[in-house]
Amino acid sequence: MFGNAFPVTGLPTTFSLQQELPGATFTHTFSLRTGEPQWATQFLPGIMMRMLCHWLLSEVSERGLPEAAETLLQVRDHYRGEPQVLRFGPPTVTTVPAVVGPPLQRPALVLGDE
Amino acid sequence: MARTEGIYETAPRGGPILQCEVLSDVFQSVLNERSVLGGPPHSVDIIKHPLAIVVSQDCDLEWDHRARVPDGAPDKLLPNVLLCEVHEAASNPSNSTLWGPIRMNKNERYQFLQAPRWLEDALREGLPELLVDFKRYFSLPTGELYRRISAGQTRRRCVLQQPFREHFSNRFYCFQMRIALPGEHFSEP
Repeated sequence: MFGNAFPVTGLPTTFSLQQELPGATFTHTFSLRTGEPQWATQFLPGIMMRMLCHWLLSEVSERGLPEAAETLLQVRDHYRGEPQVLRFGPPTVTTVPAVVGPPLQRPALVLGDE
Repeated sequence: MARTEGIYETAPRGGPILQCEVLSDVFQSVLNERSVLGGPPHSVDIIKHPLAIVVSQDCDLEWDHRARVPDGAPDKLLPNVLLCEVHEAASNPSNSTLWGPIRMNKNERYQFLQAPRWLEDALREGLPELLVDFKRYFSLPTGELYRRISAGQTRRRCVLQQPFREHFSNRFYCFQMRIALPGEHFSEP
């Protein structure tokens, strides 16, 4: 379906994904602005992923749509907003010189009631 | 989902360290690996854990505290306190598929903790949402930990309350007791 989109130069930049369903026709139109600077390096991966998602959704059967919607809702909420600024970072390590002290004897084992 | 009340209370200023007590600025000294078998110069790595939670048993900690007096019962002394690293939940870079069950405490390896409010924090600062990885545990000599607390280097913040304390402890120890299988049960495709 997306075969005519890549490679990106000298090829059509607008194409459609059409799906016939009982009672409705869904048409997705993709217009690629390939002339923009760094289009292929910066934008292409995200564009491909979105096109793939559109296509995958069109492949989901009626039975799977509620689950797909629920999952997509979770994904949308998870990535909504900017990453938070952390108050507590990961553990930090500081190395300090040391000298070996005299050996210590561990305390004797003393039995007792619990 | 609404915020749940009664999960935390402020950590006490004195007395024994408590099971499921959250501490901040916890220092762990580890012999540098190059120093283990090599000769001098030796060095020690001081690991600063911004946050940690105590997982040692409450009764052991209490008996230990009572025994830390001259002529205290030596069999009650606890040489080390077991703790887990506590991380800020927002530091978790995982995807939503992994994070969803973790946030609901349905992933056996992790514990998500609601953000303690300023009133529940002994320092009156409050803490962000927290995450504990049950694989990231460590121990500290009990005497050293008490000394750092009394010196103000390590701070006592808040404590999980019943039944959240038991829930946390149960999940931690269940994770340590899990059994590795040679393979999963097969399901027909």
